[in-house]
Amino acid sequence: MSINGLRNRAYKGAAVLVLGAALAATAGCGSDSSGSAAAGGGGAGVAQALALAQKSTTRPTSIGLTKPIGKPVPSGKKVVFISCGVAACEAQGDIIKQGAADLGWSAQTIGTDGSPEQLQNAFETALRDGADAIVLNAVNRASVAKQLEKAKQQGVAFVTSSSVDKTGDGILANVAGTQNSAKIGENMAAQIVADSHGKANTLYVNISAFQILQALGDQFKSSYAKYCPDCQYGSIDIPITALGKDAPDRIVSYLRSHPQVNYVVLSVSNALGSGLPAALRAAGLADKVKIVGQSGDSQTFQDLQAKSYNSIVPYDYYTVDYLMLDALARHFAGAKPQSALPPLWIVTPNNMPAEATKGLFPVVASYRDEFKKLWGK
Amino acid sequence: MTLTAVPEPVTEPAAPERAVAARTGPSSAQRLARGLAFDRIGAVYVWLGIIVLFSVWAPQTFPNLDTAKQILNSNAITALGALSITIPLAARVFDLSFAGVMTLTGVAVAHLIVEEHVPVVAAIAIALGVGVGIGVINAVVVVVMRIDSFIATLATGSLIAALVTMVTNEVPITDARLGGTFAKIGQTSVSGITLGVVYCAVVAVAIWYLLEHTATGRRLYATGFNPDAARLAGVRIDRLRFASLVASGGLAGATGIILASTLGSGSPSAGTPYLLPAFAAAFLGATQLKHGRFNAGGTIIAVLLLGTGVTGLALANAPSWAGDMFVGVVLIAALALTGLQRRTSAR
Repeated sequence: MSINGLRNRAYKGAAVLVLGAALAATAGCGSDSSGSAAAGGGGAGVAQALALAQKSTTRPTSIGLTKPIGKPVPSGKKVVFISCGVAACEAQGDIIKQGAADLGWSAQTIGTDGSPEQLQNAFETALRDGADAIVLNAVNRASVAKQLEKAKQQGVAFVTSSSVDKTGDGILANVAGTQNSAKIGENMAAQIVADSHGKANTLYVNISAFQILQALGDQFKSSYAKYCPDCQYGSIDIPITALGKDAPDRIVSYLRSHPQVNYVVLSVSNALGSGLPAALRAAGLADKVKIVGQSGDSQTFQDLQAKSYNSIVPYDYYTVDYLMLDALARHFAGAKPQSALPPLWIVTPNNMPAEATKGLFPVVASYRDEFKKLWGK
Repeated sequence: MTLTAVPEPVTEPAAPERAVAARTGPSSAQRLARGLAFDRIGAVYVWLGIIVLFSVWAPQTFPNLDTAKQILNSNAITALGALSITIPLAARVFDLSFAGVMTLTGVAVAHLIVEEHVPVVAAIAIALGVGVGIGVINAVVVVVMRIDSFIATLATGSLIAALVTMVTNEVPITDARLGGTFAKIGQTSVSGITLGVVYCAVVAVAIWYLLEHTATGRRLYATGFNPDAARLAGVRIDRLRFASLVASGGLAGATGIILASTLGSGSPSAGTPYLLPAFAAAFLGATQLKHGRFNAGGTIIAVLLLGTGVTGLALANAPSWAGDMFVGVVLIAALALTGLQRRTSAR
C-alpha cells in the first residue's frame, strides 16, 4: 500500500475512533436523574417550608453553645493550623490565630496545596514543632492515619471540621460534619419550595468528589420531596476537572435540554458559580432560573447583591473555627465536651450584610464575645 | 560567389512561455479536491459528523442557533489561550506559563481597579504590560540563558503562581468596581454572541495573516522545522523565538483580562483549567490545513471540534466523565496523525 493510502487509512481510522468514542459516551447517557416527581401532595408541605425559610432568613444571634467551660483554661498552648491552600483555608488561618489569642494561646499556620503528601508532611512538622493541638479541615482519616496515631501517642489533640469521619481514635472533635450538611440541605429545600410556592422544578448540581456534600444532597432531595411532592427534581454531577472552566457550560446545557427548570441549586457556590451568571445571561436564561447556593465567597455575594442569585446559605467559618477551639479549650481544661451545629442563615439580597461582598463574614455578629464568655475570658 | 539558401532557424518557445506551459499543472478542480482532502481537513469532517450525530441524538436541543452560540461563547477563552501559544509553537517553543500569565493579568487588573483605584483603561494597559513583561522574562530564560522552553516556562509558571498567591492570598478580588465598564469587556453580547468570540476572531485572522502571508511567518516556521538550516540561511532564529514568547505573553495577558471581565473578579485560579485544553487544541489544530504546522485556522477548527463534542455530550445528558474521555481520545488520535504526517513527509 502506498504512503498516501496508509495515511488516508489512518485518518479514517482516527475519525471512526473519535465518533465511536462519542457514541460510546452517549450510549451511557441518562446517568443523571431528571424530571422525577415524587408522589402525593401538599399545601401543608409548602407551609412548613415557608415557616422554616422565614425563620432561617433571620440572622442568628446565638452560636449554639450555651454551657460555659466552668474551669480555668490553661494558657500558653500552641495550636498548629494546617491550611489546605485554597482561599477559605487561608482566611481560616487568621480566624484560628485570633481565637487562639482570645484563649491566651499561640497559633501557627502551615500552608499546603491540599495534597495528601503535603498534609502528611505538615502534620509531621507540627508534631516535631511541639504542637499541643493540630487543626486540619475535612480530614480523611485514612490519608493521615499514621500521623493521627503518632499525635495520640504524644498527647497532641486533633480537631477537624466538615469531615465524614467519626470522632474518637485520635479525632477529638469534628465540627460541621454530615449533620450540618444535612441541615443546610433541608433549609435550601425549604427556601426553594417557599419561594416557588410549591411550583419548583429544580436542578441540583453536585460535586461528588467532595464527600461531605453527599449528606447535603441526600437531605436536600428528601426534604424537597417532603415539602413539595409535586415539584420536579433533577441532578447533575460536575467533575473536579470542570471546576473553573466548563461547569457553567454543563449547567447551561442541562437547562437548555430541560427548559422547565426554574431553580438551580449549587452545592458549592464559589466552585460552581464562577462565571455562571454571565453564562446564563449569554444563553438568555438569566431571567428563567433562580440560583440558590451553599457556601460562597465575596464574588458569590457580589452576584447575590446584583440579584443573580436568589439566596445563599453561607458557611460560617468563624463559628466553625471557634467551635473547634472551644473543643480544644474544654479538652485542656478537663471539662466535658459540648457540641453544637454552627448557626445557619439564609442570606438573600434583602437581608445581606454589607461586609459580605468584602470577604468571609461571621453569621453571628457577636460570635467572639459569646465564645469569650463561655471561656471565662 | 554562390548564394545558398539559409535554412529557417528552428525556433523553440521563449523561456516564459515554457514556464507557463509547465506551471499550468493541476486544474482548479484538482486543487479544490486536494484542499478538501481528508488528510487536510479531516477534523472538519469529524466535526460535521459529530454535529449530525448530536442532531439525531438530541434533536430538541442540539441543532439550533442557540447551540452554536453556546459553543462559541463557552470556548472563546480556550480559543484565545490556544491562539496565544500557536505563535511560539510555530517556532517549536513551548510556553507552559501562559495559563499562569492569564491568571496573573486577571488578578493584576482587578487589584489595580479595586485596591489602587486605577481607571479601567490604565489598569488594562498596565496588566497587559505585565503579560508582555512575563513574555520577556520567558524569552530571556529560553533564548538568552538557553534553557529548554518546556522546563523554563514550567518554572516561570510556578513563579507566577507564587506571585499570584502573594498578591491575593488565594482570595478572589471582587468589588462593584469590576462591574460596569470593566465587565462590559467580556460580558457584552450582541445577538447572543459575547465579545470574547469577536476578540478571538480578530486574533485568529491576525495570526493567520502573520504566519501565512508575511516573511516573519515563513521564518517562524523555518525556525520551528529546522533551526540549524534556518540559521545557515540567514534567519535570526533567536530573535524570532524571543519575539514569539513576548507575543505569547502579551496575548495570554489579554486573554486573562477578558477572562477576569467575564468572571467579574480577579480569581487566583482562573487560568489554570485552560492549560491542557489550549495545548490540546493547538496540537490538534496542527494536524489540520497545514500538515504538521501549528496554524490559526487549524487551532480554531480544533477548538470548535472539541467544544462541539463536549457541549453535545452535555445536551445529550451523557455521563459527567464523557467530555473528558472525548477530549482525550481526540487528542491521542490527533497526535498520532501528526506523527504519521511528519514521518511520511520526511520520506
